[in-house]
Amino acid sequence: MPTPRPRPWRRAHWRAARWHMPLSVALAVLLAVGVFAGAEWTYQRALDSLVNLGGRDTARNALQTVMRRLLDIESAQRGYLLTGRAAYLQPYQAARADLGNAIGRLHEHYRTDPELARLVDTLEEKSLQKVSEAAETIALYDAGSHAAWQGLVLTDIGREKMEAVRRVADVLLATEERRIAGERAAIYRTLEVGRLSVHGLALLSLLAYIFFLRNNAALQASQVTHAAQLRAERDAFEQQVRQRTEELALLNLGLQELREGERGGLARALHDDLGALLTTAKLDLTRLRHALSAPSADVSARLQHLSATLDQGIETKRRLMEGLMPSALQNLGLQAALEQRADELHQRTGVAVERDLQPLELDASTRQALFAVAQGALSNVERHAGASRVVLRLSGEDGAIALSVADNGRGFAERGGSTSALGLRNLRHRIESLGGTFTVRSAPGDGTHVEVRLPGRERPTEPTALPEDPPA
Amino acid sequence: MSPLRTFIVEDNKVIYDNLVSTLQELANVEVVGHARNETEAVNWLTGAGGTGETEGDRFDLMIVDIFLLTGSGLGVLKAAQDAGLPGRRVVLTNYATPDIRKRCAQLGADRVFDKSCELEDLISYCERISDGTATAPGDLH
Repeated sequence: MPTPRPRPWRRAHWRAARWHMPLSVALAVLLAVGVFAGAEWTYQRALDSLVNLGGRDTARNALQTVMRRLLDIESAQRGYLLTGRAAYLQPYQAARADLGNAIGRLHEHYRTDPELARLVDTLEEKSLQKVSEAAETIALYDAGSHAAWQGLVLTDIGREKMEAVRRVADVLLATEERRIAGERAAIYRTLEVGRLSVHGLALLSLLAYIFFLRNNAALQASQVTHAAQLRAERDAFEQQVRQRTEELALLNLGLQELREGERGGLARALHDDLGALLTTAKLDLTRLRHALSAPSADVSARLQHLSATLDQGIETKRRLMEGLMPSALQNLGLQAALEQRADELHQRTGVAVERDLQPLELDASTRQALFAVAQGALSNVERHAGASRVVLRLSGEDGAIALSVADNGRGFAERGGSTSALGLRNLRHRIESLGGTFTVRSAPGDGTHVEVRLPGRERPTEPTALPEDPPA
Repeated sequence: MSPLRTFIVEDNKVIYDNLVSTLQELANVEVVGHARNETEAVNWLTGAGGTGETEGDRFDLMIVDIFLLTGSGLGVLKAAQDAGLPGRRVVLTNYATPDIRKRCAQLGADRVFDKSCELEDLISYCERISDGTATAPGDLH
């Protein structure tokens, strides 16, 4: 059976699959890198923003500390000036030190921002002015110049310095608040971008998965289709083989029947035409002999020779006829032909042939097929079996015809019911073409049993009938 | 000497013509009937042909071929046997096998002659019936 060539669609499919594969791998890698990079970017951005926020918080705290400490200094100054108790000077000292620290932190924070750094410088300057105003009044108080420190306090310089500091601090605070709001907004944006990119990537993944599933389904569908096509092709081939086999069997049967018909026609021509001429010649010779009452020795010898020649011709004709078609089969039926064949076997080989032959009325092709089987089986007995006894049976039961030939010879090992070893294959074909069964049973040392069964084809004619016309 | 009234069953015209002229020439035979197949022969013998007249008891000798166009000489012998006809019945065939000889004898044939090599025997048998030296009907020899 020829292998089916790959279909064009199949080649196209494989070409498509060749570039589908790296593309999908690249897409998957791209997607994974995207997810990784997106998450990392969002994390870094958020981290930066949070760090910045922390820094701004510190700055705001420092600014508030500056303001609080200045107020602490002011209230400590007032307390000391009113009471003269040294206890008020302790928070004053602490506040001064803390103020310095807080301004230092502010410098540190705005190191990279020249505009705000200048504001911090102003704040420091104003703060120091305020602190020095407080320090001066305290020094005047300690020196006992009460009028001087009272005058200084009454000049309102302290309040002005404090206002100046507050203004600068307000600007700084407002700037810080604005920047903090900016950082917050940046964090929200980053989070939003992160969220959107995760959503997008999730959607892309889902799409990729759906694409993969669809691709997979398409591949499976094409595989199923392909398998179905292969199956259909195989079925078609098998159907074709069956059909061809049937046609060949019919052809074989037709050829067999044609052959038998031609042989029968030839045999008939030999009998009717040549046989009649030879018999007529013999009759003429008989009349000639009677006519010549006293022939010479020479004529007598000639006549004798002519008679012998004619006898040889008749014998040759008979041999040819029997070879073509046993005349007993054609004229007297299967039973008589089998009897004759059995007699011949017994005479030639001494094998005892037991017969159980039922007279049956059969059509020509059944008769010839069954005789051919018996002939083949008996030839095998004669040539191979080494048997001493053969049983030949012919019977018609329930409309079926059965013929069997069984011997007690050496038999043979069956090979899966094969009949080729015995050259019975053609006979099997012939019987099966007629709708019958052909069975051979044998085992080494146990004889051979050939059995044929044919569906009933008896026909109601006279047992020894000749066909009206020679078969075509 | 009255002629030997003979009924011949033979399907081949050439053989029939030559057989008749040979027998008439050599054996004082008068052909009283001729059939080409089993049915014709049986009708002639038993009068079943419709004439109502039976010819069967008006022959001295019946010569039958075994292989006929339709039917066979064996059927003709059986019909003659069943009808209990008195005439002698002989078989002239190309197929004088021992089996056929046996079956013909069982069906009441007096003699079986081979068409090719026993024609002389048939003629001398006819002569002996005519001169009365032949064995009685029903005996084999």
